[in-house]
Amino acid sequence: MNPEDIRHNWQILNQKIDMLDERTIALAQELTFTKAKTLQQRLCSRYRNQSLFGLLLPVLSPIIVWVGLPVWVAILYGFIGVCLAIIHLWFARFVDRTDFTAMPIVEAMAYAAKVLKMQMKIKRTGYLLGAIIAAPLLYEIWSLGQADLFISAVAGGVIGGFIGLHKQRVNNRIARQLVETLENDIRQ
Amino acid sequence: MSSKDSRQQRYMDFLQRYNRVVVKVCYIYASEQAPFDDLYQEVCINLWQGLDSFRGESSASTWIYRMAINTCITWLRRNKRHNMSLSLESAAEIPYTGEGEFDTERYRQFQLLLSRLEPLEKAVITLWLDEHSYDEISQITGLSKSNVAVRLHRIKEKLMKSGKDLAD
Repeated sequence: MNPEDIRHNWQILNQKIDMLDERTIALAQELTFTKAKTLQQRLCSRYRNQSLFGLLLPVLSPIIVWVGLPVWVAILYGFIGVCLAIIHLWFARFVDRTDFTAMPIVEAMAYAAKVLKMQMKIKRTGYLLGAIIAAPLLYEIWSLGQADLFISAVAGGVIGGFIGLHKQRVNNRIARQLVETLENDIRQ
Repeated sequence: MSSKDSRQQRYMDFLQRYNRVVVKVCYIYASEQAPFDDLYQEVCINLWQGLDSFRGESSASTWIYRMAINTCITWLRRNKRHNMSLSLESAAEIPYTGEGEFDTERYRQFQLLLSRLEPLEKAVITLWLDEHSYDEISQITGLSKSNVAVRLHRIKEKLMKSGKDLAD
């Protein structure tokens, strides 16, 4: 197909576009009433909501003392919850603040890849913080010598772990939907 | 007029002026797996949500091109269905009423060639065929001017070579 053909057929395409123009305006008008959220907003909401779980930990930390564990474990438990909440809120703000749809295309692609990478880092940080609190907590509970309490703690940890993993998978899926790296396109 | 009414008015004014750009971009990126209506709807939602954030740092045309193309590319990636063939039936559905000759088969080939381009390539060739300068293409895509020139050259070669293969 020579350049003349390309330009000629492009003109034909333009005339077909003119016909679509009229049809679509009516559709656009309906959308002004929509409450649809963009994917970006959904991802942001999820991380904001998840920060609330982090804030639950300091609220629950007195129970740790009540069952007979050292105060420092309760403080650590609460502190890690606050850290997790801050991280999630910060990430939600990061996603929300950037209007990637209006960026130059290449920047938008790079931003998309950055969001995904940051999500991976937050996941790893979450695992690390979880391990930092789980290890001393379980050790102290074991030291109490109460088998039922220990089993409950382990069961709670496993269930919590599964719930956390599921949420993480959903977040990842939304982020991947929102952001797929197009580095190949950029590098071509 | 309430602020919501004025926002709707602003949105509709904006869209009346630039709807053609949105329609064209969605049409270029549409495929069987990425229906035109879905792409158009997604762009309109993003436009509605993002209108307040447009502060005039770039021209409105530049902003709307970026938004439409980014939305379409994201939509394609989200659905992980990087379709390589346009729905040729739907491309021919819209009747041609213009002057000048219209070779249906040639037009279908042209649509097919366009659909085989990568998302960023589609953006570059669309802007170039719409007679945007290299500066403008660079502003919209974020590519450097020299990168735009190189890519454009490669895209044209690709179209000409693929066109020859199709004809054979």
